[in-house]
Amino acid sequence: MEIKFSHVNLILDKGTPLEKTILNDVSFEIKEEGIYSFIGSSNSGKTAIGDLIQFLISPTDGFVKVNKYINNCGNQKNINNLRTDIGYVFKNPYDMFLCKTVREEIDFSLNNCKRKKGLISASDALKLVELDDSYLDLNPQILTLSDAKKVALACVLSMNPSILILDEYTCGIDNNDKKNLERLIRMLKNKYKKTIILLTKDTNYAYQVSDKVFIMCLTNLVSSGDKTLLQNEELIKNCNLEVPKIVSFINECNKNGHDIYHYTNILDLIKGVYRDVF
Amino acid sequence: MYSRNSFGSYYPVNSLVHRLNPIVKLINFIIVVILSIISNSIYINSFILILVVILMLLSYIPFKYYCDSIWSFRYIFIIVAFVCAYFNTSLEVCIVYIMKIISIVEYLYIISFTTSPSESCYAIEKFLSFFNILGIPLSKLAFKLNSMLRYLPLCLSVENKMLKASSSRGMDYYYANIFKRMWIALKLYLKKRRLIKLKNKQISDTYKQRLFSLKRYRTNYRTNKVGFYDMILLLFHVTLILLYLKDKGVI
Amino acid sequence: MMDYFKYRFSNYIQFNLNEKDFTTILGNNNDLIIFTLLNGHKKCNIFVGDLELNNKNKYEISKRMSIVSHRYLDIFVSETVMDEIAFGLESLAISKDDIINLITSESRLFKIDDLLERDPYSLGSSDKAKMKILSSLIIKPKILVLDNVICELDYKDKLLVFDILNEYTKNGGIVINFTNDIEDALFGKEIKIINDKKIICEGKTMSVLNEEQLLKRLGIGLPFMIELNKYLMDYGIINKYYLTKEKLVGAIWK
Repeated sequence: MEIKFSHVNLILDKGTPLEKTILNDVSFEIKEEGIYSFIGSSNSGKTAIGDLIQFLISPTDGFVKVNKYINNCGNQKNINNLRTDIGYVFKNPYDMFLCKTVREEIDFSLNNCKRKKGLISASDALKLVELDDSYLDLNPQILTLSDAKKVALACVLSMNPSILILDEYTCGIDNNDKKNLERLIRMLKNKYKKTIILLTKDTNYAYQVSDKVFIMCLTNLVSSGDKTLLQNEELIKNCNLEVPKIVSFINECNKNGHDIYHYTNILDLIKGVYRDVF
Repeated sequence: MYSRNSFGSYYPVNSLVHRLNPIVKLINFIIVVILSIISNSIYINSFILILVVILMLLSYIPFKYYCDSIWSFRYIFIIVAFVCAYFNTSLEVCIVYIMKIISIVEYLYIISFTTSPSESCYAIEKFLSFFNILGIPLSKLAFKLNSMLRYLPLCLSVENKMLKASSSRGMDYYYANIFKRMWIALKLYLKKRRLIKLKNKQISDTYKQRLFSLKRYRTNYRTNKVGFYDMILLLFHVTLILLYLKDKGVI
Repeated sequence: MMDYFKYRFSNYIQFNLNEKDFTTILGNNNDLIIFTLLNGHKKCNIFVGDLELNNKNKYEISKRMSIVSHRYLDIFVSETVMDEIAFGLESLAISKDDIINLITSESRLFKIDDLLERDPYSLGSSDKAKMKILSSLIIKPKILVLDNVICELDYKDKLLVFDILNEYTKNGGIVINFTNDIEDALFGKEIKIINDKKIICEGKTMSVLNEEQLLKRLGIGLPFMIELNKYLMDYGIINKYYLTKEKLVGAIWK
């Protein structure tokens, strides 16, 4: 599963008085499986990247290539085969729900898949996101926010896609669910070799979970690299983001002359501090 | 997909026509509609059409939105031409009918592009307050008209969201041909009605939360003065009435 | 001092709030409470001041208690930001000049004064949330209820909004913040935890955050600074809470 963006510009209503630039000359490439995070404050074009990957919108300049399909304002055939292979959870999960019950909702995704192997049934998909079978008969529009996000993820996982895109999933869920999500995406990456893309502004979670990080500011892709990029305090503050709390604590220790390695886990950090004090 | 669907919805630009007083725009629109229905002379109708084209140019809205509206009416023009040929009327009468349809439709589009729904609500309320003497339940009628005005953009936004959601889950709409699009629209019809009902309820809840009430008095902070350009345009429309009366021989 | 806000849901949940309170409510039954606050319920008795919530006096209650919810974040009543903020003030029949002065001064405080002529659909999620909070605060209610709205804000906007809310409570208002994120609880003065339709724990912020076992069992967890302090206290390196990183570093390596 290869994703390639090459000099992509996205401008809405070009040539009219309401012109608005959403993405400005973005290029990157994703070749192997892993957990990738796109970090940026609001209004920096993260949702547009998810829409471009799933071919819901075409760029004004440049092209986007996903496996063998190229997205550049042309006509596409058999686009459903690609779209059921990419799972995209929207920012507002209530926008994704069309049917009366959760069971019909998950069956809607399953019925649209042309390939019949490897699909997951409704109750198994709910088990993956830690919900039980009593949710199958509820109306999805009246669920609470965290339950709605989990049901949306279950709908998408039942198609067994090879690329998974989560748009602002971690805002509004509590710590237990965040740990379950981390366990789930690590299992999907290691055991099933899937590519997972997180679009978030939560730098703490991205620092803990991701392999490679892309930082976006206003409409540009500012830099990309692995986790050590988030230890650069000046870059993160210039992009209007929060420095991860572990990083700011360790930088404060190092500023006062006590050398502590940049751990990502709080338990390792405690052991490192203990060793340094005594 | 992302960009605004401009079928009758407000286009926020700062142009001359946007800044006009909405009550004056409403009065002008009613004058033009009545005149083009009752007059059959080619001179009056061509004056009306020239006035409409000038207004279209003065509002800085891209021309293609107006052309799209005429393009969707192309079947009606063909039917009118056939009916005129059947009844053996002259070419001039046929052209007059087509000009009437174009000017009324385009004037309606100009009004809907340049007036936001809240401004037009205000205009309808003030205009109907002239008829308060007749004793009709006025505020309820105004409220019903207002919710009808906002109904079409609401339907369109719900439909856009549904098509995006269904395309993302494998029922493609954007790259499909016309038959598949009609098939998808049919399948999603009942779901669309349910979601529109839900959204209507949410909107009315929001109105109540924001202290909206039909019985109490509301101020309006926008200064809707009648300015210089309002007077000039009103003058043009009144001269059209005078021309019509002169044509008929009253004056 | 009499309690201003009283809430009672048959025999399950009951709490009272006073002026100048800033409460954070965590747990998995937030939706139930918000639904009863919006619409009223036959088993539920809610007193705001001296009025009881029922079908007839919803207008009076809405004047005193303003609710900002994440479900209605995409629903707007007008076409420009300034009209949207002025809607509530127009309904209260405040005069034209007062409306314009109030909006220009308050939007400068919230830093959205350059967005006043734009379309609300084209704003980013952080600006949208700020606009909704401003349009609820500007009618000067006694109680402000926030339902999962703080998580949409950027980091700098979050600090700004919490400063404004602290100012609002000092002048006699009540703020209730429903959230799922434990880090936001550090900004309030009290915490209540609700699970399975019962209040399990309530009290001042620091004393509730002391109950480590309970919070871990419910799956809520602790904020980063508090957890760090707790581990260091278990190892015997420090012996009281230090909430900023400079003081903590100074205390570890004396």
